[in-house]
Amino acid sequence: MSHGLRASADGDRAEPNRFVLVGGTIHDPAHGRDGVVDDIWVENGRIVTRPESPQGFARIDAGGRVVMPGGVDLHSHVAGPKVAAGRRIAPQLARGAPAAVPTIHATGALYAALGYTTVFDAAIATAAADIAHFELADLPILDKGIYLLAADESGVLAALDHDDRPEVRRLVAAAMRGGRGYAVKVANPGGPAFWKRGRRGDHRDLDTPLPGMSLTGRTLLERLALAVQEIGLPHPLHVHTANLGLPGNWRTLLETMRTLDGIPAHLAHVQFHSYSGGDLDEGTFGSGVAPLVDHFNSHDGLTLDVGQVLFGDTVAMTGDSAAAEHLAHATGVPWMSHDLHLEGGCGVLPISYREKSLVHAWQWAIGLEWFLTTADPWRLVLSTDHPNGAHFRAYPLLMQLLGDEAFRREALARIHPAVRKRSPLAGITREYSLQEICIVTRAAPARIAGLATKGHLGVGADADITVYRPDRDLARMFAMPAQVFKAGVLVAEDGEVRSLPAGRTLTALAAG
Amino acid sequence: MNRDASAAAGTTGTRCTCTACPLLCDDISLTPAGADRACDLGRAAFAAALPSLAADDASPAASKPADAWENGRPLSRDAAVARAAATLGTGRCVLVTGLVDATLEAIVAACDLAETLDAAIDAGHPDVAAVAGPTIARAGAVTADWEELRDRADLVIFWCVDPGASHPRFIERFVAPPLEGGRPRRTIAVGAVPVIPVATHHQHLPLGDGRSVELARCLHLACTGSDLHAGVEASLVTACNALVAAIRSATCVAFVTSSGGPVGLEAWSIAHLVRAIAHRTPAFQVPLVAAGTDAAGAAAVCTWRYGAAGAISRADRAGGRFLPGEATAARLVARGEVDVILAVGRLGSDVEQAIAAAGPSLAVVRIAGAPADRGPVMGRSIELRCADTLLTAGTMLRGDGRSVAVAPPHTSPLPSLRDLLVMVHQAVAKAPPPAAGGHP
Repeated sequence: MSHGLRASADGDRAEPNRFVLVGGTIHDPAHGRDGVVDDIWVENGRIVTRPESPQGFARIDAGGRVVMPGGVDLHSHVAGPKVAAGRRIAPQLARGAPAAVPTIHATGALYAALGYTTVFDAAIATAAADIAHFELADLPILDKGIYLLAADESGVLAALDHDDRPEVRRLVAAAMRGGRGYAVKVANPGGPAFWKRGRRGDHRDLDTPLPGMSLTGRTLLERLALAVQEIGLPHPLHVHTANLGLPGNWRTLLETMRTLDGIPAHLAHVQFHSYSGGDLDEGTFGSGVAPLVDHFNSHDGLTLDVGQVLFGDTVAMTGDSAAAEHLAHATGVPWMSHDLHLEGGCGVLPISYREKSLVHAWQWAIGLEWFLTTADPWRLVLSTDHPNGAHFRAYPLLMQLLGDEAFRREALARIHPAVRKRSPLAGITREYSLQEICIVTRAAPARIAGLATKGHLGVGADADITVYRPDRDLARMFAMPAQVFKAGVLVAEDGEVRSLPAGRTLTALAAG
Repeated sequence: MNRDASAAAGTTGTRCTCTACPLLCDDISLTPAGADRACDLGRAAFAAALPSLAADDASPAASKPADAWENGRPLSRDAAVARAAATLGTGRCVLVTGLVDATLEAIVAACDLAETLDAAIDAGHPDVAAVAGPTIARAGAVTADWEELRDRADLVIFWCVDPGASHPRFIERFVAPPLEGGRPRRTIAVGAVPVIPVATHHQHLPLGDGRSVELARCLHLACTGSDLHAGVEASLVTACNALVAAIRSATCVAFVTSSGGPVGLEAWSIAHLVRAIAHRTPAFQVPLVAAGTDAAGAAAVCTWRYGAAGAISRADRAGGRFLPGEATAARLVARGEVDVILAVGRLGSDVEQAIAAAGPSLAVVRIAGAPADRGPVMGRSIELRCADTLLTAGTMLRGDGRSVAVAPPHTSPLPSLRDLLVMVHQAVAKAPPPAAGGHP
């Protein structure tokens, strides 16, 4: 398949600012439209009501094609210093097509060619916000936003420690305004304080006080989530909880969910936090998903993204320095780490997920278990935590794993035999419908992000629209949309980028 | 003009940022008496920039100093821009280099122009290429903001580096301040120079040239509990033992290093050593790259645009080819693979030598804050003078990657580097395509 990253020679043709997509099979879960044949009218970048007179609206035939809103990636890593480190640490992976960590331009073009029109970078330190925005100005096509790691900042930590709620709100809001952030992310609550004080290995639960404070990971989460709610940010606290990647960490995630009971929160890349087993004992490694899903299904205030692992070479990058160090030390691969003054830091390393690796096969199966046992797709978002679990270009493969049980069974047959035997995946026959895929890739992430004009095809929505050719091979169908429109402009067609309009930067609070 | 002077600086001068070295000191107060708080390097830079500003301001239009030259002869700026565009636009193979003293805004403009020209792009400084080179790919790097050293490191090891030469105020700003709570900070200088005078808190461990890799490997073994080989020289064992004892008693260790030589073995050995220590105790490396004021910015922009910090054979946003063994500026020039160079600011000495050696076959377009110290002009040469970086507002990345909003003390009447790059780019875009086979 060809994915031209530059606009083709005839690709910069002006799009009509008024057109109608005629006769497409509409999937618009927000409005209960599930495979309904209808027209979509677009004017000045927005979806509009059918006009009294269709004159002046160009007709674009979508007959027999599947029409969905543009994809929204709620949790990805596309810009900023740690992504730069990811580009540098594995030059051998940069020779792939595409690179494991693409250039910022290629990131926009590849996302657009895949039918995605909005992306959020999920972990930017407040000190790095300026340079991240500088870089994001070079990201074509997509609307974009950043989540700020505001709770790593020492002043915020001190206010949280004193439970000074007005001061927490003031500082977080100031960071959001100054850093032009969209949401607040916490990566390993309190972890940087342990990391910097050298208390390696004693931060195993949510109830250990941070060095020199009475604040614990648990109280930090609770107070910060409340502050985010009180400030009125569109997206609740975005939580990467403690003990990422460690055997037995399902208990930490469960305790995190219990801590946030009654407070809106979004749980990030839960796959990496759902492992059973004893401490550092690969033989006992397994799935802790079942009790987590039980809890999640019965607590409506929580949402999550999965962070699915797919097999292949990639680069791991995180604001959780300790997790990166643990993994780098265990595997011996190159490791980049940088500590920021009065904040946290980041860790970056290459990683290769293998079907025959017991741990990697478990990670793959655990992610799918989350997708296939969570009851309400509106509270779940498809992600690979790009590039941590896999490249975003692998999303179509993930969609096929979810929507095609036979395909999934074939994949299951190839992985480590112990996982095949012990994972509940073999007994799960659920298949995602197109509507459900549309929910977890568009409608749900837009709603969870608080984006009123995205993730749906109703009147007033941004005209971010993806048109697919229906195909029983879902990976093929979703890998190459027939047409992708961003704010009413044709940006990609059959895998070729047609134009490169600048996207908007999404911010939560007006600068002040 | 920034007159946010008195409160923070305690003087009545103009508060500004010094862009004389990668420290980007933003506590400088410019008074009639000079640049308060600036180091010798900074004072010299201000002394050079401000008189030229005064001359540019004061001279009547007819006698203003020239700000553009072709083959050493003055010409108007507009004519020079047109000539530069023509030269660049008809180049068979163009190299864009320099970059390391420019603001992020100017670097982005240079990259835009490089893409239009399908040019190769490389900052031309081996120290900058190193950040994309083998060390990171083989071992990684464990680093920190300089303030982390200042606030956390109770052991600072200067590893074969003398910050005073390349980063004059580094010790004053980041090593001399006391640690929180009055905790003592110990410093050790490994190498030929003691860095700071030996005292109770500072030790000098002399080390001969070329021995740093050996010592780093010995120290790595010792820190991870392995025995040193019996054949290791006694002086290395002594140094190693002293360092191990200091590291074991520290709560946070900082290794201040140079960028580690062109081969990469020294950088590789230090990276492995630091990550091994960091597994047990907070530790990080502070590499002091001596190339340019904004080398970190040049590396950052090239990385997000092309996937690597330099040695990009063709500036392509979709993912340039990173060819460190082939596409560095000096190599491209030395092999005769470029016929036009766009020099954005100062160039490294090896690139200048390669240009001088290339002779008349090479056309050079230079845009810089000060006229080059020209020898006899070889081949075609177009020079455009822009505002000095000290007099240019914008954004730069300090050597440790933190972004700094550069506040100049005055506004230059000359166009900024970015503005000139944009003007040349616009002229290139307007120029008719060359006739088939028509090279300059």
